[in-house]
Amino acid sequence: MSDIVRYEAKEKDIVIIIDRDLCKGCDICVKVCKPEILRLVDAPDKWEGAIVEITNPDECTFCRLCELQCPDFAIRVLRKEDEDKITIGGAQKTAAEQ
Amino acid sequence: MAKAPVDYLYYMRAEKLPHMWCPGCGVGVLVKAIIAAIDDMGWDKNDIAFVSGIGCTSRAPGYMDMNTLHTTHGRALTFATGIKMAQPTKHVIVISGDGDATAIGGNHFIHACRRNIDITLIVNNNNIYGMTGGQFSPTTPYGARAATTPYGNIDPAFDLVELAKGAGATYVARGSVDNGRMLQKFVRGGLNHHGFSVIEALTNCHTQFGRRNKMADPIKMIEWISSRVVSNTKAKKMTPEELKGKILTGVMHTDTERPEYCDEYAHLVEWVQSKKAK
Amino acid sequence: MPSEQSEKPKIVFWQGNEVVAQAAVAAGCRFFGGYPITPSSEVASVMSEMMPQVGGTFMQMEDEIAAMGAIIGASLAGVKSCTATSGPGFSLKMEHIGYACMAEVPCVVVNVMRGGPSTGLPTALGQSDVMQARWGTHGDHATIALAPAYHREIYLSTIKCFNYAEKYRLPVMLLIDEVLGHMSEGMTIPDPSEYEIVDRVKATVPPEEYLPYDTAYGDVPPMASYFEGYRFHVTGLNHGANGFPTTNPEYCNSEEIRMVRKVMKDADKLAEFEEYHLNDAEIVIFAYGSTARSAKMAVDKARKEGIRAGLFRALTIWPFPEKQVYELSQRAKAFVVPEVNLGQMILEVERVAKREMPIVGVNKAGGVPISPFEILDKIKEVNKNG
Ligand SMILES: Cc1ncc(C[n+]2csc(CCOP(=O)(O)OP(=O)(O)O)c2C)c(N)n1
Ligand code: SF4
Ligand code: SF4
Repeated sequence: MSDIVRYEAKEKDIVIIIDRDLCKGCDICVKVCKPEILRLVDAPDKWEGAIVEITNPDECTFCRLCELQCPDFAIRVLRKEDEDKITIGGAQKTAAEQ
Repeated sequence: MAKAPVDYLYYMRAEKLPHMWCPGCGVGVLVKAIIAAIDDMGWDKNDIAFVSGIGCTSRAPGYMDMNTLHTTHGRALTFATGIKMAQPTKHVIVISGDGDATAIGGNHFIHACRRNIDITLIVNNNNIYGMTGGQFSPTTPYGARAATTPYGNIDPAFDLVELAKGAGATYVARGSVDNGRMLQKFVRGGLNHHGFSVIEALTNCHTQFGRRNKMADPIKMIEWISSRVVSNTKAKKMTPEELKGKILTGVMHTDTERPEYCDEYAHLVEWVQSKKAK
Repeated sequence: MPSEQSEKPKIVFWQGNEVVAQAAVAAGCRFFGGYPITPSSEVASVMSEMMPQVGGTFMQMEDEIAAMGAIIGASLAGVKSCTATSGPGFSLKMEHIGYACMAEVPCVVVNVMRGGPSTGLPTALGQSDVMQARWGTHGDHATIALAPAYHREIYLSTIKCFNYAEKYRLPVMLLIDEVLGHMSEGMTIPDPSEYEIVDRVKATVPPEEYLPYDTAYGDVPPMASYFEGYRFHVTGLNHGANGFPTTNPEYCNSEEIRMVRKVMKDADKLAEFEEYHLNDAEIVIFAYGSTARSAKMAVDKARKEGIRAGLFRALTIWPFPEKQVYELSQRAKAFVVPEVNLGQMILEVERVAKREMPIVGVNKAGGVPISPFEILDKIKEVNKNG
């Protein structure tokens, strides 16, 4: 099972989904986000020991830059009704098995 | 109605993720743009052959849920040509590193351009040999450091766009990793084009190139790429001084007049067979 | 039917190179990728004429490496394919011959041998690539190579090469030489009833169950083609049953062994040869290709002089007909091995003949054939000393 975290905006029709098994903590998404609502936090059990999280999904402008610039297919920024239209969850294998 | 969001993982062998590229590596952004472009085209993944040579970039086919072929260093286009000629109605996409496409594969590159065969070549130009540990490539900038240019590079660099144009490619575009949407658009342009298309993507290999050139983290190197590129529309309003040292991006060349190779061959077969029937 | 019986079989007068091309088409080849090089170029010329006629593809590529890459690509897309070349071009193909071995892609490589290393003697005879055919590419691998001596045999051998490629999933070599390639010889075109056409065993399982290198079916896994819905991965890296790279030492080792075994366990079946006056032969000539023609005449002449000579003419030179040569070495007094090189297959004869006995070469590397008299002289010399 993939380690997926959903961040649902309350006021807006936006859901941001992070696949924590795919994020390598490169920091690119954090830098491209204009409202600065992404940040890296420690995750010693993950690839690079750091992983992205969303601080306030309601400030998201739906520019989707974080998704487009993420090299690791780890972030999706979606309309809520689109969530079940796409595949979520990449790593079915753990890093150790790869 | 807005188009449904791209289902990246549908086009991928999701169980193979996370991929092998370094954190922040530009190849991932490029592959994402390619998938989005394929999605725009609405192609059936059974009808796509995704072919590569050898290098970091060339590991991409392994992650794609298509007919995938990881060939030899520099020579992906030769295999791709065989596939395309054997099944001309199918789609053939080639992804290549800069060393792959223009050093060891330079000859195949120019001849695929010359034939104008309906294949899309996407070159991930990270200015370096990533996989083998950062030796300079034919696109390493003058003066740059690499594992084999400890005193700075004295080899002049290729301009891939000019090379492709000169050799006869009929769709040539250049994008950069800091703008995934633009890459997607150019790749889609290439996929849509009937003829040989070349899309050069300027990307970051901070691990091998950046590290030796004071840009060890991906963001620094992406910012460096950003600072070097200017879109060709914007460039029109700029003075030669302002354009000095800049690399133009955009659709750099299109030609819809030149015949495509598979079509030419099909006409030849038709003609030969009609002559034989008489 | 009487009308058919009264029809005389048509005699054609083709160059060996044309025979190869005609036979390839008969074998079902529908993709040819080439690059001009003497003395093989006529294969490409005939192919360029025939391929459009039969709806196949002829491509003159930018070099031999490209030609080899293209035929592998075409074969993966489900089309029987081949290329033809000579010495230096054969060397250039080696990287991709290794690829085809590793990825197990059926295809045929024709080498019309010429003389010398490098550009050497482009327009003259050589048999100097027999070891290159075996060991030219990198890494461990098995090789199937046929070296026919007569035009009709070239025709049938070409078809066999395609059949073996399909059956064993590997690049198969057809080795002829400048003399055979350029000489015209009258022959009847073999009727399709004289040969069989083998096609690769196709995958039949549903795509989700397909493993491109599934050894559960034996040493030669069934093969899907691209665009059939299987969406499999092919790489030149060592790979698992699923086609994806692996570095597992045990698995890689067992796969290398399997890929050699798939051919070598059939070595006896693959061994084709002609035995000429071998029953009582004391002096056995081991020969192949055009040189075997001289060797046969030498045997006749030796017999006239009362020397018990015989000819073992190998059609299959790889896998080397070990068993047969070993058995002969138990009965014969000496081997004479004429070759238009400085002694290549003689090394195999020496390796296999497991007892002390004279094994002597008749060697020339100047681009001209070895005459029957030169072989006869050697037979007499060996006979006198023995
Ligand atoms: C015939 C051959 N020569 C050399 C190599 C070693 N090699 C592997 S990848 C590579 C260079 C890769 O650089 P590039 O094509 O720029 O791709 P990147 O890794 O940067 O994506 C080289 C030289 C090889 N695999 N095969
Ligand atoms: S979509 Fe844009 S605004 Fe929203 S989190 Fe991503 S980068 Fe920030
Ligand atoms: S070495 Fe460079 S090209 Fe290779 S994965 Fe790392 S960043 Fe990417």
